[in-house]
Amino acid sequence: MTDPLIVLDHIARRFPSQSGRAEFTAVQDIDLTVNEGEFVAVVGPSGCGKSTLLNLISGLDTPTEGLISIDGERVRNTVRQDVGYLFQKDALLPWKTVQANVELPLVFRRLPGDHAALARDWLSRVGLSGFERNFPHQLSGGMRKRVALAATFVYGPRILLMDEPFSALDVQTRNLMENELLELWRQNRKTVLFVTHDLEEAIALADRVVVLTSNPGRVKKEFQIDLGRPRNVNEIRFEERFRALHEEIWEALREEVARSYAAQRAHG
Amino acid sequence: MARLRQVLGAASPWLILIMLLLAWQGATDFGLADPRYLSRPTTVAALIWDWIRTGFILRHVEVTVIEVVVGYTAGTLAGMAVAFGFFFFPRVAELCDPMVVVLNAAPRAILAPFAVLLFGIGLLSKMMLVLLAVFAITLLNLYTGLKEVDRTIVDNARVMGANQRDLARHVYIPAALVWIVSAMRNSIGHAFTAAIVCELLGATEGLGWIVAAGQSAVKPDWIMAGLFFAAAIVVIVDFLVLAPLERRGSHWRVF
Repeated sequence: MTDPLIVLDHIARRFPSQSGRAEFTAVQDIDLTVNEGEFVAVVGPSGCGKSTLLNLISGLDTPTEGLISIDGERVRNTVRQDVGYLFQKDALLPWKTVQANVELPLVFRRLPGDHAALARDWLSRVGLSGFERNFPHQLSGGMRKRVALAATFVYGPRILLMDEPFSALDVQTRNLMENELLELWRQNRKTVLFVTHDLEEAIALADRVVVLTSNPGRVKKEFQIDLGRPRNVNEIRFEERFRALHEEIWEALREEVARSYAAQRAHG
Repeated sequence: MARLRQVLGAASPWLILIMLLLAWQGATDFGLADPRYLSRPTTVAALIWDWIRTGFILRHVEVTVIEVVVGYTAGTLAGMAVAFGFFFFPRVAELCDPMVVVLNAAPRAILAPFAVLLFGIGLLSKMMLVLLAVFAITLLNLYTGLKEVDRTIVDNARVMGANQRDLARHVYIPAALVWIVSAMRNSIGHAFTAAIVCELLGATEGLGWIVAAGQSAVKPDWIMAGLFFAAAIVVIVDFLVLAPLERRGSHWRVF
């Protein structure tokens, strides 16, 4: 057994609250490891600190307590260079063309080679040949996500952090993108940490599902997903084993969702 | 039928204008209003034509335009510099915040007498007042705009490997351009207002001086014709320069 690639050791992140003196604890006591090439999905009710977790691993944010290391090296408060991050919201530069957006990480990283050709190659792999000169606002939401995928894969990060990347898409586009993601992942075998509030999506995509508690987020339970690959997200939902896993994990998740809902109502 | 409606739709704002002018003309022709105080469209039109024909208006347009161009350019540049300064040094912005609030809230025309006292009745006092007005608008527009640059876009660029310089060049400056152009479009009218208000108070030439002279000599046609030229310049500048500029920039502005 080799060492895990990502290790989170007793992580806590607290934010100073703006109004009172009370701090807001996003996540607490998180212990989590991710192996190289593994696809891990993190599920939890809204507001349980899932995005905070990804920000901490990417180095965009620093934990208040605990230690994060990637490949044995401690993550300090600089942004990791071997990480790709797909955000829930659109993050493309609206004033640059699709082609320029995909080239941008190569420019930022001062990588050698033919940027234009590399970008074109990745755009064709996500099915966007012919859209190089378009601006993001001229594309549909699904197409913009594909551009974002291409702009992430183009510089070959080892680790892929995904923060509910498909949640804003309609169901059909979303399933299409999930299948495309699985195909890209099969070819490249990145280490993926995929955050979602959708349990079906988590089971359909991942090797392992981690359930977080409602705020503050802690690891409640982990589940190994022993479904075969390659998978088709449209069909796998009907398999016996999928349904059994869904039932089992939902048992753990239900309580947290209810508690998060109650807390939101109390505050709202 | 549909076509007729379309033509009428496009023409109706002009029809309203023409009807207003006709009403004005009629009221003064038939003794409903006193042309000595209200003048009448034909008199004003004749005066406008006369000023153009003799070249009398040229010098006054020139003076006002120079005041505006100098004050506007300096005000835009100063506003941009301070907005970027505030953005990159938030401590300074915090310290200056009350001043900015006052600058924005106070009616700046009140400073016109002060400007004339300090900088004389020549062009300088007008330039300074224009500068101040444009500076305030640019600063507020741009500073707010920079603060509202989408956090996700910045985070995404950082994960993709952007350092501070990359961020400025590829994220903040392009984002700022939109706000600068919209501030420029917004402030041009205010710039002319500032120049003309200051000319009203103390000047020997310029469009504001024409209006002031018309008032003290009870020549309402002078006031109307002066206003006409002031409005015409703003419309021309907006139509020929600023609106096309904003249209060019806004092809990606849809979020």
